This record gives sequence, C-alpha cells and structure tokens, in this order.
Amino acid sequence: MNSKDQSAPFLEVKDLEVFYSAGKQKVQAVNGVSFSLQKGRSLGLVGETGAGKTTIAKAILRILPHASATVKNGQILLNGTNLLSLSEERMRDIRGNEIAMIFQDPMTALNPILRVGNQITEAILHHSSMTKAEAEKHAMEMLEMVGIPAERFGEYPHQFSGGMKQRVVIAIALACNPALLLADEPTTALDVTIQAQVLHMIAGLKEKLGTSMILITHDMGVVASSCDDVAIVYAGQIVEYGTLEQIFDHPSHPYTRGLFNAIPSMNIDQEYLEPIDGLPPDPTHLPEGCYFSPRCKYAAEACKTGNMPVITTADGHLCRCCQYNLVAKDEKK
Amino acid sequence: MLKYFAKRILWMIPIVICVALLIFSLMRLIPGDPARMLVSRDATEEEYLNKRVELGLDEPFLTQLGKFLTDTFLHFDFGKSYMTKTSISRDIGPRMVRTMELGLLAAAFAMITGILLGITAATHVKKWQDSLCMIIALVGISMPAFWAALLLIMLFSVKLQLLPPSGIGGIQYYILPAISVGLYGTATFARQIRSSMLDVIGSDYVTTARSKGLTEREVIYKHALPNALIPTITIIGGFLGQMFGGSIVIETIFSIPGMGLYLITGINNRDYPVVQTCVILLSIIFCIAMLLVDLAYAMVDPRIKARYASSKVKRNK
Repeated sequence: MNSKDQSAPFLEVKDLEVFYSAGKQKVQAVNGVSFSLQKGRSLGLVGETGAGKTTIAKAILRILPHASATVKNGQILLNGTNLLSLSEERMRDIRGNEIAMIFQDPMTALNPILRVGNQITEAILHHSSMTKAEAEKHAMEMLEMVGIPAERFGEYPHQFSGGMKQRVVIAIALACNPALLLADEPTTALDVTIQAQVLHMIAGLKEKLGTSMILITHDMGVVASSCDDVAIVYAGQIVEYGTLEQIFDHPSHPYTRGLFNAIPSMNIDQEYLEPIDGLPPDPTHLPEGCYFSPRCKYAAEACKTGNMPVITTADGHLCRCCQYNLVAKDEKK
Repeated sequence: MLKYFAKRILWMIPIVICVALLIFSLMRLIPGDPARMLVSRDATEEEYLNKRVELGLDEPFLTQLGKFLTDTFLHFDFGKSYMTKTSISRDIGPRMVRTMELGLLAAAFAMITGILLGITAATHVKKWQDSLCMIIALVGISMPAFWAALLLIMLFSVKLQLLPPSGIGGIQYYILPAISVGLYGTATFARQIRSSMLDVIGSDYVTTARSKGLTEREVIYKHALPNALIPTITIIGGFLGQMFGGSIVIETIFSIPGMGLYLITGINNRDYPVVQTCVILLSIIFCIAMLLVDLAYAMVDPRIKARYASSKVKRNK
C-alpha cells in the first residue's frame, strides 16, 4: 500500500489523446491522459458519463471502433512495449491473454446464439496450446470459479440472469489469466446485492491470480472498497490522481470535492444534496483553459486561458488545478 | 419442437384446400371456354355441346367442384389435360423437377452472392467497396428479371458464345436462368445483410469477441454473421414466392419446359386441370418452403427454439 516500491511501472499511459469524428464534428473524448499502474494494484477511473473513461480502456485494448475513433497522440506502455505501435496480429495475442476486459452491460456483452461454454473456450483455445477437450475442461473450471455450476456449460445466454451473465463475462475475461483486467463499470447494470457479490468475487479472483486492474466506475463506494489508486476523470483529462487515502482524505481538485459533496452523508441529517452546478462541457467545443472552470466556484482569470498545469501536492498526489491552495484552505474551515 | 412442426404440417391441409377452391372458382369465373377453344372454328353448336359434355363442363358448378375435390384430394388424381389428353401427374413430374432445380440454383446463387456482397459492404462501410456493392444491389433490385435475362443471353450466348441461350440439357443450360431469377434475391439479400451486419458489428458482443483476441475473420463469420442472418431468414420466405413467380417468365424466355411454362400454356388454353394442378402443387411447395424457413430460424436462434420447446411444455400440462 505504498508507492515507494518504484520499479518500472507495469502499465504506463502517456499523453493519450483520442477523438471521435462524427460527420464534420470532432468529439475530443480523451485529452492528454497519463497515469501508471504497478503490478497487482487496482486503479479506479472515476468520472461522469461521457468523461472518456471507457474510451481510455478501449484505447488500451485497441478495440475502439476504427471507423470513427482516432488515437491522435500518446503511448501505452505495457512492460515497456508500446501497444499503440504493435501490429494488429501481435495485438491480438495480447487481447484476452495479457489484457482482458469486463464490459458494462452483461445483457448485451454475450453472443445470444452461442453457448456460454463455447464463448469461454474460444478465448482459451486462441491463446494456449490446449486441445479442445482441455480447453473445455478449463472453461468449466472457470465457470465453477465464478460460481456457476459446470453443467450449465452448454446453455445459452438467455437462460442466465443478469448477475449470472456478468459472471460469465468475468469468466471469459479471466479465462487466460490476464495480467491486466479492465473492468468497465462491471456492476452498474446489476442490482445492489448482486453488485456486492460481483465486486467481492472480482477482488477475490484478483487476489488469487495476482492481476492488476483498472476499474471504471462513477460510484465512489465501489472505488473505496476495491481500489488502491484513484484517478478522477473530467472531460477526457485526469484532474486528480492519488492513492485511495490521498483522494478520499484530502480531495484537492474542486471537481473531486464536488463529487464527494454530492454523496449523502450518513451522520448528518441532510435535507438536500449539494450538486455541482452546470453540466459537463460539450466535448465538441471544450472551454478555453481549465475545462472545469465554467462550473468552478474558485475559478480565477488564470483558469480561463492556457493549459492547466499539473501540480504535485503530496507524494504522488497530482492535481490539475492552480487554485488548489484556496481549495485546501476551504477544506480546513 | 416436433409437436409444433406436426401442427404446422397439419395446418397445411386447410391452406391447400382453400387454394384449390380459389383456383377452381377463379378459372371458371374468368372469360374463355375450353370447349370452344378445343373444337374447330367452324364447328356446329352440336359439336361444341358434345365437347362440353365430354369435358364435364355441362354439369352444375357444385357437382364439378365436388368431383374435382374428391379426385384431387382423395384419389390423388389430377386428371387429364384438355389439350393433350395426357395424364397430368405423368407430365408434371419432370417439369416440377426442372423448376425445383432452377429454383434451388437461383436461391443458392442469390444467397451466396448476396451474403458476400453484404459482408463486403458492411466491413468496408463508407469506402469504395461499400459503394460498389450497393450499386450492384441497386441495379439488381431495379432491373426486371426478364430484361436481365435478355441482356445475359446477349452477352454470354450471342457475343461470347459461352452458354446456351435456351433449352435444357446439362448444368450449363441452367446457369443463365438461375442468375436471371436470382439477381433480385442477390440484391435484396445484400442490402438486408449489410444493414443487419452494421447493427451487429456495433453491438457489445462483437466488441467482446474482439477483446478475446479473435481474428477479424472469426469475429465476422462466427460472431457477427450468424446473428445478422436472423432477420435475413425472414425475407427468404418472401423471396421464394418472388422466385416462383419470376421463374414463370424466365422459363418462357429460356424455353425451359418446367412448371412455369406448363402453367402459362395451361392458362392460355384455359386448360383447367393443368392450371389447377400447377397452382396446388406450387402452394404445397411454398408451404413447405415457409416451414423450412421457420425451421431454419429455430436452428440459428436458440431463443426461438426455446420458445417452441416451452410452448410444447405448456401444452403438455
């Protein structure tokens, strides 16, 4: 739980920029995102809908829709190899094998006309030298591991409930023992009791297999229970980055503080929640200067122009705000 | 599942009887009199009346109808042609085989080319390959089959002298007719496959398939195509009807002695038994084809199969 053991990072994303083109419009989805992840740790990517979290994950796996999405700039280094410069063929070996992804909506993430067992076996066959029978046996073990009886190997997705489908999706993702797991809102589509089960299961499997994880969510509670590091994403930028303790105990960016204020408190009787005023910026026309400035109560003249510098407040705690002193002072009050 | 299909097959009986009733009444309602066409132009009134008695046309409508229905459905006797005086069941056998061959070839041609064009268009969306495939489809859909047939004859038979322009014989005689009949199907399938492929390629499970590290070929042919085929199967049923209709014209152009040509000659001569037999047989073929389409649905989509199975369970309770 300390960031002192600085070996070469397992995954490093540098200045990632992605845009989507829709007709003549350019949607700037990711605007210079950099972060690194140590082996075995979990990073939570937190942000509103449309902040670019899923795009970051899909860019790492290189499964963005190539017709509309363009990675303009940046590097994604996995153990020192830049994934963005790999051939498609080499990338296919990594997909599902070294990096795997759990998708947001289990209802649509499985092919409705293939047996779930085959959907797991397929990934295993692709990345190992196992025979079909061995791969099927391994797939059944995977099903058991996520808590589905192996007899259901031959069933179709429509015969499973939502939570069960998400377990199958997780089994597919973990089938080849990936080093990095990208979990894109794995619990959003599930109801709360199933959410807890699924999170608990992911945490357990992660522990068992030594997998690193990027967990995408907008739920601070999920972050608190399953992440070591947290990155707050706003309008395609990381506005604050630190360990779980740093972010939860000393939120420095006005946006992060706004997010925490919007969570109802258990110990005071609150009549109204405190929302962040305004709406996230239109990604086709991002504001000048700090992207959060139009909604920020600390915004000064300096915030309205130029690029916002990234300031390191404490050890490894990054914040993209020039007014953070004011924010910190406010916190003490 | 089995019960469902047994029920569907039983349902075919009233459908075919209805078709028989309709075609019998329609033939007698339209102008024209077979007896008048069979006797020579300067025949006396007596000769004409004798002919009517010979053909049984002097009897009341209901008597004729009853005789027709019992002969057809109880004795499976389709009678004799008014014109040639030969047994229809003997004549129609080889003709039906030819029409079926032509139909199957045309369907195979339409499906293979349509699926290939549709996939090419969908995987190269908004590129030149897409535009090319869609132009081919547009031409195919706009061009009447008989005109396509004439153009094909001009090119392949007259200019290049590669394929025979008419008649029957080996497989080479079927190539041009099959293309002419199937062209419309090619175009419809290509457009349908393209649009459903585009839907499917954008769906989450295709992204899941990609994220497993599958090759693009596996993603398209194993995950996307079977799903894209489900809505396409629906239009195959309609296409089959179109194809039998089209083959009547095409058989005339290529002088293929199939059911189409037989039916056309029968209609022109007011040869009631021939027309009735052809239409009844076509309706049976069509019913079977529709049943096969439904069966194909269940084969491709386990959700539909499950519905058949569950309806069976409910009935058993």
